[in-house]
Amino acid sequence: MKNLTDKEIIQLVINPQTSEKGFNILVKNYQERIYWHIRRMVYMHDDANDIAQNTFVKIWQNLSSFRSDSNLYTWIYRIATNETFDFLKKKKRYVFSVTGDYRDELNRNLEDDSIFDGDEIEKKLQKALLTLPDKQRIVFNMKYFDEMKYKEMSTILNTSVGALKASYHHAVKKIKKSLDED
Amino acid sequence: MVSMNTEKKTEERISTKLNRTKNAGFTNPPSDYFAHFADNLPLKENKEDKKIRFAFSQNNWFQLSSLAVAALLLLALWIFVFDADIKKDTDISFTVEELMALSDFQNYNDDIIYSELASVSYLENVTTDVEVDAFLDYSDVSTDEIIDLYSSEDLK
Repeated sequence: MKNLTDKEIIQLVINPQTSEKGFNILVKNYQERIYWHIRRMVYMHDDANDIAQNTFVKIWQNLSSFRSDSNLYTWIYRIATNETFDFLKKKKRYVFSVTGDYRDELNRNLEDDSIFDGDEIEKKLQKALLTLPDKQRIVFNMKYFDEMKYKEMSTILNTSVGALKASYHHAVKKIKKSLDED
Repeated sequence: MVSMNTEKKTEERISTKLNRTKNAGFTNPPSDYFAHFADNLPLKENKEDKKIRFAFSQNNWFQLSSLAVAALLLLALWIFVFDADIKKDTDISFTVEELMALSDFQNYNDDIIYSELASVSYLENVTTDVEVDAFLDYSDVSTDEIIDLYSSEDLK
């Protein structure tokens, strides 16, 4: 099958006769990118799976009202990002009430081979990233790992390009400090 | 201050040491995960969000209750001690939308509430887009970082 554009996919989903087929194509096109976007923030596969599922369920429920002049790609990322931040807020509240700091838990996850099997430099980078606020962490991930343009990130994160550049600048600065310490 | 040049060098330094892979060192999901991901989506049987559940013991409820009581006592103390100051400093008017935001937390997320309040409290004192974004979007950034943000020549 030829690669369909986002507009063609939306048309398929809107049509009741082809909606399931269209949605399946949409999911196949985006599932992997969205999964890794989430996984790099929450670390655990099960958590990433739950959030990715919620994301696509919300997309399924709301796609009929999606404005066709908008960008499907940034809309999906935006929903995934909001779901991820919501999850992190809930998890932080929960972990704080039980064991203390959520970042300590994420740090411990980096030592768990079933969650993280990267090499030492990858681990150092992740540990340095954990010193950043979540918004800076996600900005760094999108710019560095997804090589996303500031303009796209601006739409997804609802933040100006200037503020994103500032955020990335500070993230890199902290990572540099962290790598220099080692 | 880290210049953009240094930023590039740091990026290069990270990049030369690691392969920039999408999984960033995290383990891959099960091999057939993406093949069956779409089939496992709860689209029909469950229109609600998949609930994310955390285990919660009775001890934790006790701990939470204690925290709630402590918070109430602190609030009462704060109101008692600073009552005069509150009366003196409450010469602030809110719009209907802001009051709705304050009284309707269910339908407003904290970003909306924060930005609506920020429009009254802070926006008179800030001038650039970056400053506005710092107030609206970066409440979790430390004061040092905000000061640093405003003083960065690279971004202007």
